[in-house]
Amino acid sequence: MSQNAVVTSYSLDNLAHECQKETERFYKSGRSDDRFCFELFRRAIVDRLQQAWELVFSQYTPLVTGWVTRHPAFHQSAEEREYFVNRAFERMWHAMSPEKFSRMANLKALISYLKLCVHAAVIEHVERRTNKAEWSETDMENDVNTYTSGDTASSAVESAMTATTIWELITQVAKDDSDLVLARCSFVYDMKPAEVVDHYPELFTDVKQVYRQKENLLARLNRHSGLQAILSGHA
Amino acid sequence: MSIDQQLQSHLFRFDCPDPLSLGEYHFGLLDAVSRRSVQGHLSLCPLCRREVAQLAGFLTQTADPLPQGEARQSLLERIKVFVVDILAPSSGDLLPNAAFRDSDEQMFDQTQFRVHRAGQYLVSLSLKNQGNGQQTIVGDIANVNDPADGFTDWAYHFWQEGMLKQVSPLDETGTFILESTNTDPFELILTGPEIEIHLQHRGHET
Repeated sequence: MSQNAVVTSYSLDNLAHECQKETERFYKSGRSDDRFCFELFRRAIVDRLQQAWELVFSQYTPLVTGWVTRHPAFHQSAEEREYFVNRAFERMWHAMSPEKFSRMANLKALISYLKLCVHAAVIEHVERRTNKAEWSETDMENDVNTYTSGDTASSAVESAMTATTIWELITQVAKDDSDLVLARCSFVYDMKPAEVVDHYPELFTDVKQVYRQKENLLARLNRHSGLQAILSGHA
Repeated sequence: MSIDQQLQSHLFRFDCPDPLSLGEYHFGLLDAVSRRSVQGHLSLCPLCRREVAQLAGFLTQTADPLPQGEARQSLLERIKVFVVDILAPSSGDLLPNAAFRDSDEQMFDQTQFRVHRAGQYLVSLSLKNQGNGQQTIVGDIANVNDPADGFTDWAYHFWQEGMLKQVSPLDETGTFILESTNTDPFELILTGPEIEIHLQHRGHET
């Protein structure tokens, strides 16, 4: 019987026990037999065994908690570590399909993917939401509910559709490629005029030109009735 | 709220790939269509390039450094990773036709031109110093086993100071040009369907 066949015949409890032993051995000596932990992940992800996933969760929570704590953006969030630990495992559960699992060469690859899920959970919360929320604060103060936290799927879809529609209108108003580049740099990437000049010296010679052109563009956008209808519908 | 602020509130990163997708791109997990889409986006979006750099930094916090020289398997099956130090004496061959330089000293003032081997691929790289701390990098990759091999599925990723500065697909013939980069140390990563070639330049010798 092959070594892998032996591992696949282990009960879940034995597998979890051996995985724990090998993990401790790795921390002490840098060496381990990864088959047990790999098999535990396999049963969780490929066989979709809930109990196996719970064992993966309890086995790797300490490691994931450490990663969360050490993520550079964690301390910018107002959330507890446990929030991101849970989000990271959730992401892995949803994103790691059996097909994707088949492309993981070894346990190290799986652990790296789990670390990616930590990064995604923290960044999504801190950087992707925070900036959007900043712009909506004024409306919140005015008792207007434009805050799109993205917590619900329907609000996320609505936000995406509104953004796409607004962008299409901007492409109609833009005179040329430099207007489109300027719109993207200003509204989508929140770049300062000096950064725009830095990134696109072939289109913009100095910040004065950026300011002038942006003023011009905003004036045309302000006069676009379709755009105004959308923006006022969200105001 | 001004119209500027309203537009920013709706449009900020509206068409950026989510962090997990950027991470899967970094790991080489995306299919060809998605990979090209993300590559195209990265060539335009400084925020996503920064995010990929943040991810790379976070992943390497406790990771082993890439070994020099030998090919090794990446985290995924099948993808081979080659790491080449393009200034190491044993790395790469200076082309015999070096008429543009009069001496070794002048080589670093003008143009360095070497050919490097990474498995079945030959990568030629020319670094032309333009003065004022700027240089132009011109490169070309060829498959010695299949000279007719096209490179439309390939891209370059240019890293400096821990930042992903440029991403762009290679042209069909495998040629790429990076203009007006500064002369600081860099890592140029060429990614193909099942291969990564890391060309590391530690800066000009003094």
